[in-house]
Amino acid sequence: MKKLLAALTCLAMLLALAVPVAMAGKPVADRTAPTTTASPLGGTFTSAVTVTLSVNEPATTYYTTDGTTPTTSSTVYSAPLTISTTKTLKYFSKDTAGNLETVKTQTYTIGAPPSTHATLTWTGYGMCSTSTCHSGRASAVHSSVHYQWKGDASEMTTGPSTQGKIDATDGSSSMNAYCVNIEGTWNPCAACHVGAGARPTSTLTPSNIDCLICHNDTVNAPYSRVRNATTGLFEPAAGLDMNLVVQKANIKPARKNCLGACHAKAGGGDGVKRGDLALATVTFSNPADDAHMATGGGNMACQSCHTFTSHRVIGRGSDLRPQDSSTDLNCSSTTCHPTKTTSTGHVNADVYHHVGRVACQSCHIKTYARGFQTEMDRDWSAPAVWNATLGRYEPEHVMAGNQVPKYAFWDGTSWGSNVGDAAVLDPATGAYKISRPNGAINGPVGTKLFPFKYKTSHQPMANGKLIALKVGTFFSTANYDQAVKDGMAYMGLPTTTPYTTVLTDEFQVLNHQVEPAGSVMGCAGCHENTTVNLKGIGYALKAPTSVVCIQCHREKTPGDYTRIHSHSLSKGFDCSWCHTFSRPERGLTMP
Amino acid sequence: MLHFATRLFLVIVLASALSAVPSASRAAASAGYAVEIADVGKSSDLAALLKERGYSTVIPPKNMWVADQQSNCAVWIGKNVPLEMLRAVLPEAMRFNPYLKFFYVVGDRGEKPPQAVENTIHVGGSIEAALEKKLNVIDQQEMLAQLGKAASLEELHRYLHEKNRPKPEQKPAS
Repeated sequence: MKKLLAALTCLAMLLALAVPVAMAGKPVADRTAPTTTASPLGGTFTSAVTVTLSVNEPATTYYTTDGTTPTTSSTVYSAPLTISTTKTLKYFSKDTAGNLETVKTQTYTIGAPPSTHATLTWTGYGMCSTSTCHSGRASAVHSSVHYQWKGDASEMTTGPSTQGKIDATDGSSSMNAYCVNIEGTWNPCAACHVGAGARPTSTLTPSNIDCLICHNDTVNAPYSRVRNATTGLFEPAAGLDMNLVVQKANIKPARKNCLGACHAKAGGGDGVKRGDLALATVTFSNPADDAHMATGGGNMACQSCHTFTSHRVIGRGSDLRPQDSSTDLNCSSTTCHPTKTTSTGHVNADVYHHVGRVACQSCHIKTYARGFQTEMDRDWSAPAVWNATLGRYEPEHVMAGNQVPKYAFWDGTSWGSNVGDAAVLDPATGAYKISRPNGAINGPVGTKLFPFKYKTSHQPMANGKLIALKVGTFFSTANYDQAVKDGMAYMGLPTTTPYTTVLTDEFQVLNHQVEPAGSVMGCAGCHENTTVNLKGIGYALKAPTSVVCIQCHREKTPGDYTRIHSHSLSKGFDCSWCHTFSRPERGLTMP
Repeated sequence: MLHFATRLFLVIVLASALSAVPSASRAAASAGYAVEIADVGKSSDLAALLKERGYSTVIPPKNMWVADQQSNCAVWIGKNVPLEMLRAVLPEAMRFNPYLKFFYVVGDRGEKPPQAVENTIHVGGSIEAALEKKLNVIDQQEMLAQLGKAASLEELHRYLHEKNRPKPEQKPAS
């Protein structure tokens, strides 16, 4: 018996020693997706083109040429493809380890583009809109949010069904924590309008659509416009060869069109409002500044993500009231990152447990305003600052770069304060709310944690309403009191109404300045509470450990994150057993 | 220790140099008057020219409102800037930027700018601000003529005040 026991012990020891050795010798799992290259890349060709797809490792390549997204059921690539008519080629490869490549797209346009632009002569802003070529597009632009500055507010849980920044006193005109509201000062705001300077109307005025502001060829025939000193309307800058400008204008907008003309300058200055967009975004070369848009990174145009259909763009900032399109913009629903929400989508498999409730941006945008500064606070009641170029006063404001986002749950809908609304104090921030992403940790599936720019302002309030002070009065006189009174008159309040200055704030979702994959926020960013205060956003225990732990066993001091979460990861207990929220989409159950 | 003759020579050179600067501009510079020039066109050439003539000049760092000569076509005139300085600076400013068309005395509408602004001519103010203030275009030739014939600074200010009187609002075409 002793001999038998000794033999078994020896066998067990041998096995114990052998297993780790065997495991150590096991090759590291291949988790790298293959890379497929098309040659030539898409473009315009005068005749049929033969396209070769090559992969950097043993893999099977699948493709389609009808614009649909290929799957592993699609045609398998076996020989060069001859494309003789204009087609969109989509392809991806799957390697022998099962890693899937992100679907890539190339468009091959065969034959000279059907353009008559080459012979155009500039006759004025109405020439495109009144022609048979683009009258339909002019109508589409006219009805868009880009033109009307208001639109479908179905993602707002406050205010009327149509809202926007255009001034109105019917509760539809949005407030913000920058210049508050445009309150009748159309002209200076028109600098960022796709019209030619006139205020948008309900009927289409072809001469007030400036196609060139978005469609000019910024490289070969750049266009710029200046104000007519008498009418205030825009006209082409002197010295431009406008015939050449319209001849070359047969292109889609580049970053310089969108950002250089308007979106980088929102809030009254470079980088002021958006926090993740600035004029520098046009020319960033280092992917660390913006992996998607930097010339050394993806070098992507805005509409690579913000796709347009009939001149309606997808994507809405959390603080914006109207949506131009009901189609949502989502990293993983595009052809760019379709696998990232799958269990094998990330190198670290634990990420899969997060993607249902944590937006890509939360980990991939660790900081914002990198490479420029953005406005963090504006105080209308403080002594004003003189702007020499504009010959006017401006409110004191705080600019800062390299900011760490605030994190909040967002279900895709928003709360907003419009002109005339009763002011609402947020006890959590101690400020009156200008805009908020709706959502909570216990929100329905689809609610995710997002990063936000947090912006404060010091604004007047009277009769329980935030006052859209007259910025024009403030700019010219620095007289805050008079600007408030003029604002009250605009809002229909007696100018003798007593007012106070209150703190206001808003959250603005961050989507740009995504960092390269190697710079992602690590697990410790949240799970040691170094960057994200998990408890502060709802992840605290629902009760003291003396209550929670004893549901199953004696009271314990929580150990590290992984150990304590073995309750859900291994045992499958639903989060609500210990927290105030549930995650039904993960198939967890109560003990 | 320098030789007496050397020191005498240096004093003479310095005195000659100072006497070469027009007395009005020297007085203007010493009184703290300055010319700010927006960084558009050949702003540095204009700055160098005015500096040569004894005026204190500065080209502030660019900002998003500094675009080009056509967009930066306003002149903000500090209310204390002497007539003689305006007579010297504005013709050169117009020569360097033929698009200058708005001329406005800062404070004319009751604003109270910082003290330094009242002693400064800003060449290249933004048309956006000019339109916001509802200023009127003043022909360069007319402005030059008025500069020549104004008997006093106050008379020039009165002229600019009248020229910039806002026109009645026009109703948009329906």
